[in-house]
Amino acid sequence: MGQSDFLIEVEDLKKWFYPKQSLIGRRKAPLRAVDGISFSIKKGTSIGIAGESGCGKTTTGKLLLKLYDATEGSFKFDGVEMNSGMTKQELKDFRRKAQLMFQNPYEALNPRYTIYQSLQEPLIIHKYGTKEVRRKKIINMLEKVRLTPVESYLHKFPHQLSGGQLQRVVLARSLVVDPLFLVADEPVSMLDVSVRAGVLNLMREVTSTMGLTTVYISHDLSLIKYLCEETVIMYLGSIVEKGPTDKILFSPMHPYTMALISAVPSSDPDVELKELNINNSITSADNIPDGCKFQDRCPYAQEICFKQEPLLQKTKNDHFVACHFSEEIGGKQYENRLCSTRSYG
Amino acid sequence: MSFLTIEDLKIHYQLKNSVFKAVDGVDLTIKEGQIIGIVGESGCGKSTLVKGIMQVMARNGFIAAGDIKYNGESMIKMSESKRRAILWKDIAMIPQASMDSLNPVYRVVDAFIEVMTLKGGKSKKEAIVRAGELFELVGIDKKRLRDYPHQFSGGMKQRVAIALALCLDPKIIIADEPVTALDVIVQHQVLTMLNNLRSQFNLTVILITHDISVVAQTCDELAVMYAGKIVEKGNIRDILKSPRHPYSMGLSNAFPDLLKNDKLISINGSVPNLALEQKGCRFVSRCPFSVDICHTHEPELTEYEEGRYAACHRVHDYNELQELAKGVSVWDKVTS
Ligand SMILES: Nc1ncnc2c1ncn2[C@@H]1O[C@H](COP(=O)(O)OP(=O)(O)O)[C@@H](O)[C@H]1O
Ligand SMILES: Nc1ncnc2c1ncn2[C@@H]1O[C@H](COP(=O)(O)OP(=O)(O)O)[C@@H](O)[C@H]1O
Ligand SMILES: [Mg+2]
Ligand SMILES: [Mg+2]
Repeated sequence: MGQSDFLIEVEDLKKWFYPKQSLIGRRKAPLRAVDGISFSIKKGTSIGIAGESGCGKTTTGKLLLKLYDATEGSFKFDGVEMNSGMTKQELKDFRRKAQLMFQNPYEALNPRYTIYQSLQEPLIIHKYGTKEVRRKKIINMLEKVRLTPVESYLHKFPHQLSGGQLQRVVLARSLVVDPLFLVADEPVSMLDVSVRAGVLNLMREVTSTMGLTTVYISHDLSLIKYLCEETVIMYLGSIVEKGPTDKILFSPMHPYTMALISAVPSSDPDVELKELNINNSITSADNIPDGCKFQDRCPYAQEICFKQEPLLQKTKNDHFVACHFSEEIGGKQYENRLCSTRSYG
Repeated sequence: MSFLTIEDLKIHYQLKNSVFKAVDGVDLTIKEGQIIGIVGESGCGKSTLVKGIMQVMARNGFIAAGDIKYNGESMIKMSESKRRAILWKDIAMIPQASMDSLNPVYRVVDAFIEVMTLKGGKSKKEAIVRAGELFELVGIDKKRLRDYPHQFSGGMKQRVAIALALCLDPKIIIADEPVTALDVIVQHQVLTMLNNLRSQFNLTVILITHDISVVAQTCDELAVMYAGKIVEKGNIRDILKSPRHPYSMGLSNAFPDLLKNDKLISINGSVPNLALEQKGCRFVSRCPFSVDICHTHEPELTEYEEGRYAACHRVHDYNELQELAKGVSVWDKVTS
């Protein structure tokens, strides 16, 4: 392993999509899916990326796996720059070390492959050991994800398994090549409620015993709270707030984070449905105004917010926020959601 | 006052060689001006139940027994024309995945005109005016009436679907998974809107979802469904604070919550095949607390306290079971 404490270091990373230009008419603006983000992930820890759909979570995940080439910026993996001068062999090596866990288990697995074949495929691609060694590896991995007795699963096909079991196979398949880094994009959103907990617990356990560095992408903050030490909140391709998960959730400083947290429903019937302090959105990723990207939805926006884009800055609270008025808004305006209880009429 | 009642309703699907009993004896009383939630994991029969009420079942589906009464009158026995006058006018549905059910080649306003002229007897002009009002009510600029469905975001389409259901001033709205697949902020807006409609127009709402946290802050009453039956029903607070059926206890363990630090626990095992004859309790294979009788006799949904119903042989042991249910190892006994 490299010298750095961080497995992932991202600096001003961008991914802009350029629409096909029509021959006549105005040039269309590029779609700024990821628009200059910076963060790093310590080895062996997990980070959650949250935000509304379209804010650039999946694109970020794909950049971290080099499934997209960045438009601009630096991405270091274990101290090595990935966005320039990589050899084919280095890329192939990276493809083993960095794995994606798919959202939809039904799309992730080849329906004509048995579970054994599905797990064997990545091992063959990465020329892992002899047939016998591979077999042992596969059995060991299926035990780790608790598909036991393993013999009863090896020769089954995807359609013979339940959604929860399939997602365990998908997890096993990502981990069978001993990666260092895992990106899980909405890992349980396709699963039935009664089995989600099992898959989440398993991911928590397996990633920690294997010492993996993990990125969880989810629009569900309660899930991120359950899984991640650090949290990044994205809005229209930018990071608006990042820091330790507890700090973000219980003392948010950015008005968008506050709205996002207040919107999370609680299973406690005594908690009141809160009013959200946020306007409807009119901005989109291909139509970004000057100033703060959140200006049109922000109840606190002032003149400067329409002129100057706020930078991500460290707060006294030990996390990072991009808001001109975070010191005034944070803490003062944010009431703990525990405080307001529902009244029954 | 109760004005919609469902009595021992059975809705079955004819398969090639068997009958699939998707809804197998449901009793439910819906009171005016209330929001009632129906929760349960996918496949438990929620959509079948609401399609049964609306009489829009799949071709192989049929009402095998029971009744649906509106203001005391059987909707199954009444004449077709009378029933048609009630459905959509008094009882409207927001179908599951309704966001995608709008016809992509028509302007959104056309759907409103169609419903209001064909079913509501309004003129086209009146319909357009009313559609504009409804758009404002759900928070969309009425200029957008002439847009096509693909020009709306997911959350907006869901609001359009709600507006469409409100076209004929119904007294009851049945919303089938109205916030599933929506972002939290939009989800919050939709739930707030349903809440407001209830208080503004005394609307009755039946809210179908698989997510307990969606019902917890909006509903007055709750029915928990499992494998085609209601296993627990009553006041929402009572059920969520002190569940009496082991399945309800399991469900509240299974959800992450910002306010809780508990380890999540899943309910292992799977639902019985409803094409087969059921013996004993339907939940028995997944229940950590089963005793002998659970394997042989199906428990009835009984009112063991005023307004509180549960279908469990061990309903009186709830204190002990609630404590036990908090332990991970208890649920691990049942293997997946
Ligand atoms: N391959 C692509 N080509 C063009 N635009 C894209 C592509 N992938 C994503 N986008 C756009 O980039 C933005 C961010 O998308 P995405 O990363 O998928 O967001 P999220 O995962 O947060 O929902 C969206 O506006 C989306 O429409
Ligand atoms: N047309 C049909 N024919 C046969 N089985 C069906 C049909 N529609 C639904 N089912 C089955 O009935 C059960 C209940 O389905 P549904 O009412 O959609 O459940 P839910 O809405 O709770 O997810 C499921 O097992 C489903 O597969
Ligand atoms: Mg995504
Ligand atoms: Mg359904």
